[in-house]
Amino acid sequence: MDAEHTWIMNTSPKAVTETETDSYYEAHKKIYPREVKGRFATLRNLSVWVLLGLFYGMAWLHWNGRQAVLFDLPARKFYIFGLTLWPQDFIYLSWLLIIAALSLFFFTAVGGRLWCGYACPQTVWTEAFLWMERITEGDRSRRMKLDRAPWSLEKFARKSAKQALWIGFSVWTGFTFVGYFTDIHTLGLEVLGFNLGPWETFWILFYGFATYGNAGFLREQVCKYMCPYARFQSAMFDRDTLIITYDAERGEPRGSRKRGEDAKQRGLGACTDCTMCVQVCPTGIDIRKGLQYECIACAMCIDACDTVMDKMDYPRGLIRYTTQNSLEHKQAHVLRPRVIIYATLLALLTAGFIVSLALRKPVALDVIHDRNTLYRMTDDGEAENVYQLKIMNKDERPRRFHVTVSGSEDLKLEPENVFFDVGSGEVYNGAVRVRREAYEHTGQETIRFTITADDDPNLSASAESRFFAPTH
Amino acid sequence: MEPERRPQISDAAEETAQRELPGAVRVFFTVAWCSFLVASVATVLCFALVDPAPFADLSRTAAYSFGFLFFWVVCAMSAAVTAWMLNTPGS
Repeated sequence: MDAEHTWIMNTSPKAVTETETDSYYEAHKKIYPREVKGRFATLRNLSVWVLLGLFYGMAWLHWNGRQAVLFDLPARKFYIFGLTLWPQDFIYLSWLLIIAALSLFFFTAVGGRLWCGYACPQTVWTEAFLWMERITEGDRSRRMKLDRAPWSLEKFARKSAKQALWIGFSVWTGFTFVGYFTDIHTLGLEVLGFNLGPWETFWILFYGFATYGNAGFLREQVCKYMCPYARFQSAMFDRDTLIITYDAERGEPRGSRKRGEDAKQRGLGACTDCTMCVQVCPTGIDIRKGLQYECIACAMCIDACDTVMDKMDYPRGLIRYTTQNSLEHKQAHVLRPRVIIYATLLALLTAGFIVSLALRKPVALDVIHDRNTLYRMTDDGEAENVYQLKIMNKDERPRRFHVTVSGSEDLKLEPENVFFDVGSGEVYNGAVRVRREAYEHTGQETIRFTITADDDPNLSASAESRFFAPTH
Repeated sequence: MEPERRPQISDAAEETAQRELPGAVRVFFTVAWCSFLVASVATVLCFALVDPAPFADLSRTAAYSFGFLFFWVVCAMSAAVTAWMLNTPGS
């Protein structure tokens, strides 16, 4: 680790506050972020609309007569559009989580905390809650004034309106969340009919309360103290990672000046010290002090500063997305070992995921030899073994499966033709008997069962087991 | 967005009452939060491997919920003991 790296790596809140209070936690100051307009604010608003739209809308989407995305926990089935996943497919979920983690690493290495700034639910819901705060309590200075003012009818009305919006939105969020786990239409009818189950009620209120607390009150504290990603994201950073930074070389010495005044003559840099970048910051930091672990890379300070630069007729970009290398006038590298390794792993895992999902067989077979008797001798002098077949039909429709067995030549099923009807999503348990001459020299052997769908010869599954016979 | 008035960076800091939580409350929330995270993972892993339906005289939803709360309590106990150990003088 090079020395320059340590200022990014030193991300523990303890390092920041310990000297003053010997505590892991800073005294909390309420932050009143100022509203900002600009390129990145527009991008984030777009992201908020799309992501919230997906969350609230997708639950109501239908696909082949059922909810399109439903993690049906009571039935232990996950529906994702045309795909049905069973607990046996848990590997896909884990695989998907690994892909998600690796994407996060990749995007962090290339673009810094893009996730935090634009896509994290904490950011997205906080933006929505801030919007509700703005329409009820007004802009930044009005909100600060309102909080300072003694209680009045207006203050009460504004605060109540905000709370009403927040609580309503939170409960709706909780309802939607639970609607991804039990059918949302049924859930809606239950709510309307006041006959919601106790656990559904609990989880709606639980999730609603979490939304209200996180987006309404905790806000930046979630990022600063609670988020695990915020703690380790700096490990993915290097000198070519995009960061939001203040160009001190151009900005300093900062100072106020009149519009049109020659800053050079007064020995001033480009920073007018208007503090807009501080006022818009949702985590309440001053980006001019350098990169700080609290910075969630929301780019609001870029928009704020660009607006001021435009007004002053200065070039934009005093605060901008850049890399440490290019800030120091060094060669920037987009393709570097870290990025190439993340990208390769990500591509391989994603390709593997898609292929294995496409090749996933909608039928599975498990064979268990009868536990009580190894074999039984029939009156004809044949050895007979009994097996339990567990057939799982993961398909969307019922199937009839034909059972065959292979091993030594005279191995046969008893009766010869065995069919099992297995409903959609059913795990069927069926017993079969297998017989063979009891040869003296071969006692036991490995045999293979195969089940084939009656109406589709390509749909089959097989499993092995042991056949036992006397050896004396 | 008019940069008309002089900087008031510390407006918020000075003019809002500072709210600092007492130590025990902080420990409580840290323990609750970390154990919540781990309990969520444990619940998913546990019920992906085991179907509670044959074992419990409960609906699956209830079994999952109790399972989660159980994991949360167990994880919280571990985290609480850890926090207590770390706070013990002399450590």
